[in-house]
Amino acid sequence: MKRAFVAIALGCAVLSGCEKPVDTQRVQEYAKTFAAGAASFDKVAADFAQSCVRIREYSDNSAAFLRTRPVVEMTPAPNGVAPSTCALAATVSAQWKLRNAILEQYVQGLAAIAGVDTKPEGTDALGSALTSTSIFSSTQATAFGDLVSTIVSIKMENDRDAELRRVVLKADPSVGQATESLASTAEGPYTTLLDDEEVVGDRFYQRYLRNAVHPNGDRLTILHVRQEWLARRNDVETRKQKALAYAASMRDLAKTDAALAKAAQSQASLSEMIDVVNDNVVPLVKDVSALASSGG
Amino acid sequence: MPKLSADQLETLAKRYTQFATNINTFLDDNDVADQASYNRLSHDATHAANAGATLAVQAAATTFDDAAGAFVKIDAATTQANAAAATLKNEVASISRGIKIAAGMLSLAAALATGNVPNVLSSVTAIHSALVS
Repeated sequence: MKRAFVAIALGCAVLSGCEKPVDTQRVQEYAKTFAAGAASFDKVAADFAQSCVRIREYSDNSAAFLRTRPVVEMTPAPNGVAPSTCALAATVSAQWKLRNAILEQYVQGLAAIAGVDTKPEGTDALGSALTSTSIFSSTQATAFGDLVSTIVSIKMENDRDAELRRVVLKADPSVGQATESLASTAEGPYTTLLDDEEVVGDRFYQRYLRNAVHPNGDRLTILHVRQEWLARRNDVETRKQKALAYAASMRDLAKTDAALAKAAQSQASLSEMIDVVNDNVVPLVKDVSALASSGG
Repeated sequence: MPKLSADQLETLAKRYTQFATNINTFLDDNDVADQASYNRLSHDATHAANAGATLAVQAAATTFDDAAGAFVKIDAATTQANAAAATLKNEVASISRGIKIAAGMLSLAAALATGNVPNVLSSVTAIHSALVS
């Protein structure tokens, strides 16, 4: 009886030793990458309202640029964007920021479950205690401690996998819908707003140049204004690139979550679900890096 | 008048913006000598861009309204995830405590059986630590 028990215990210990360890660090890394992008995500969200204000200021000839330039009488522009429109843009920006945070917290929540250490403490002490009773040898006692540890770990890992599956399935397909709404806002309305900013900015600088330097053109003023105009245009282009990188990051999250939901439906283990994250963490890192490093 | 959808608003916004961009490009590429014509075209470009911007903001606001429910569900899933992680951690901690108590009691029994006084004291301390942890 005792021999059979020891054989089972040793067998389990050997099996647990051979078991592929679950690399939960990849989920943590995924969560960290997403968190690292949060500041850049929020800049995109904030610029939506700021772009609206710049459009209004260019249109009604009140751009900040004029405060440091010789005053000239500008050709009046048409009625600009209404203050109520920019107030609505500010509301969208605030909601956008909150929604970025909701997605980030969701990814952190997944990482919190995946990161739970399922190995119980005290099994070494149990092995030593068994040895001290002189009923078991040191090897047998260690094997028994490992058996207890393995049984508990398997139970806890199953619980952890089940919880992760439950959460992923609860959030599906909402994560896809949510990320798509943010990605399409960045690619659609926000990019359109930036196109409009480019047009009204061009018109504004042209109006200024025509009024300020015509007919007795001051070459230095022309040069400075043209330099600033070019810098503004480049800035708008950079923000368009950021909008696209943001949209790509959101779609990476949607893709990962859809794959996780598919794995969860097929009763995949945590290890298999982490493989899904592995496949998707690289593009996310790339897109978040593009967003953070594209200047501005 | 029926409310426009986010897609319809975005399509209209893009049309106005494209119109504005076309005039802007024309003015960039051509020297319009007549000041009145130039002013009128510049005015039209700015006017169209403003209309495009107004529609783009409305499109974004409508998109955000439409997606609000999805974010509520994600928030609920996050609450569930955090609660599950805390429960799992507590469960592992409880099991660890049980194992430590069992180990302490086994050590205590062995120490009592062999009359090993130092081990009796250390076993009692270990059981106490496990109980209060």
